[in-house]
Amino acid sequence: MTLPTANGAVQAWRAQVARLQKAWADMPAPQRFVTVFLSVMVVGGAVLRVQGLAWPNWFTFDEEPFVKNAHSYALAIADNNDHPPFGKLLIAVGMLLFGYNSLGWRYVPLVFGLQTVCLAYWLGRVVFKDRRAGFMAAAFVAADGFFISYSRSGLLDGMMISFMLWGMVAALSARTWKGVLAAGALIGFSTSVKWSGVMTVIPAALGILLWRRVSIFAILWLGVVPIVHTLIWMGALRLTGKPSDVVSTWKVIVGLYKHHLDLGHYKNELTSPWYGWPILMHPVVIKLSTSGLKSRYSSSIGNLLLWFTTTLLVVVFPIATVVVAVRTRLERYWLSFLDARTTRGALLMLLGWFSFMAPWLATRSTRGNYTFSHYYLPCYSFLLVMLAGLCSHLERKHGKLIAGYIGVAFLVSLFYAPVWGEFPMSVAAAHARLWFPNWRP
Amino acid sequence: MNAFPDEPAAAPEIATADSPPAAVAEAEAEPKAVAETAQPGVPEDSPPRNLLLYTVFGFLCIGVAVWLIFAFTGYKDKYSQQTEGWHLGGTKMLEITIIREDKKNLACASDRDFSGVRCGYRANGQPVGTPEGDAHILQPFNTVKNELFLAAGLWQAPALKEPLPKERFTVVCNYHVVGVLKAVSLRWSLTGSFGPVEQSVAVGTLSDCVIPQ
Repeated sequence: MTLPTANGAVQAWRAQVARLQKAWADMPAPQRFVTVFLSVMVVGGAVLRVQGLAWPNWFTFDEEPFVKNAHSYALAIADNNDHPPFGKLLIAVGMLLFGYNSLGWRYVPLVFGLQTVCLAYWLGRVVFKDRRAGFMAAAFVAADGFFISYSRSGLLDGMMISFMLWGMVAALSARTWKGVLAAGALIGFSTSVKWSGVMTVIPAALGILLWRRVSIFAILWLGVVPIVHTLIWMGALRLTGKPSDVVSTWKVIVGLYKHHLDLGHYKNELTSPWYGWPILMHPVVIKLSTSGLKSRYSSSIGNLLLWFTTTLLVVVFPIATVVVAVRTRLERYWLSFLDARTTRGALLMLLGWFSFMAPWLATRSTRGNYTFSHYYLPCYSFLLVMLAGLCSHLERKHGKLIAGYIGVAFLVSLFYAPVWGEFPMSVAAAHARLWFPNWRP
Repeated sequence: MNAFPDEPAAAPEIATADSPPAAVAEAEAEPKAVAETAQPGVPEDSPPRNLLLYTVFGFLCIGVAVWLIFAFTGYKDKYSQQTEGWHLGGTKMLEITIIREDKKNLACASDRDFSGVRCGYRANGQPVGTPEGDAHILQPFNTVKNELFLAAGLWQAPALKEPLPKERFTVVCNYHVVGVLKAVSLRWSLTGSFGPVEQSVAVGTLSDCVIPQ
């Protein structure tokens, strides 16, 4: 392996710029509009995440238990939170850098929130083998309030989905068993932030089987997930002076699992049932602060156009696929609309969506309605990548249609940016965006 | 044989010593599967070989870039939490969250007197004179950080003489701490009853109040 020289790096950079210039020159006008919209969405999404991050400088939503336990790790005090330790250990890193303050506890989730945009690009590109699909996926994730609000808070979900996407990218781009092992480790990290991260194993394993870049037996390396999870947990217990052998760790994990199953007895006005998530029944305002006559909102409401398009796809796409599979004479109509590669990628993303919905369907008997809209965050990330793949494919034949669609999505993001990025605004202006009482704090 | 035309080195890497022979056979069979799925005329774009390294490197770059932004803009000093305590005799700037009805809603009950500053009700619930409009009568408030304290003089501030908004708003004031009440009862609505609080509550006066614009 040789290190690149400065001259080589400059040449590579020039070649890349030349490639982009040529691509721009070759683009028809609608695609150019789409490119501009997507670029502004990516840059704007990054700015929305970073600006005013540390305000308010007190705990909002669920930050308090996570941050206090993150702080406990630094003081070698036992963690009493009901999630695995890794997310809190990561939050603690930010607090070591910036101190025990709101910037300290929101720094690491922000970095993961920005990384999620990059990973959405890679996942879109890997799944659909198309840079444009990756670009669209990154823009959709960047300019969506669901992801923005979790990037701006000291919460676990943003980090969990970042590792989830990372694990998916690693699995689908793996060329040797080592790649699959890396994917397993990343999914293990995701699981160690929140248990639901383990569901990534399902789409990752199927993706490995479908992509066929490595031996089918290589998926066995995904078995490293529970090992990584247990090791992280053992390390966290050791850090706080608790018994950290395998048996003691297992007892802690089982105890927490039983506690989670029992959560159905609890009441919380922010809960929403699983069937309410795809229809935005109760998005939560993650951060709210009032100063003077103005308030700042960071709502987890998504981009309405993208959200309801993905919900429609969840219903229509599987039905259409089954119909085409049964009535094979319809296949040529389908293939004139979507090719097999895009269909395969979209179905894999749908499987990802279902994998993360399944735990909440399965545990409904014990947890009742004690579920929250942010459980839909990983599901939605799969759907946005799927939508990006479909848009990118359709853009080749229906450029104007897709330009119009993404233009409207861009305008929706522009309209909602103030309630995603905590811009000071009157209550009336906020209510003009958060239409229903369930959408408001 | 390579399934992905722009990745000449991919196939040999599959056939490592760690891969069973079946893997090679699968890798050999791969081009057919891909040829079936690809649409004619649509270029196939496979990810770079070291994608995982790219993503890790990108992650580190993001972390460092964000850290540099915050470091160079003095962001921490501008926004980070003020950690100074509440000192007897000290003055602290507070941001208080209120609604205009709080003028009548909020009250406290205690027999203690702090140099003329006292609650509007005695410990037995009997009112002391006419509390409304008296700059020496204490009321309970919360800061935007949800810190409870007792203060007098808020509603006499010139900034609160103007018509007040219907919605919840905040006021920034200088709070001069004159004492601490250990046993005090609070009332949060006009028709509500007094309930004891278990914590010690700071007592003081508010001055120089402004509504942040």
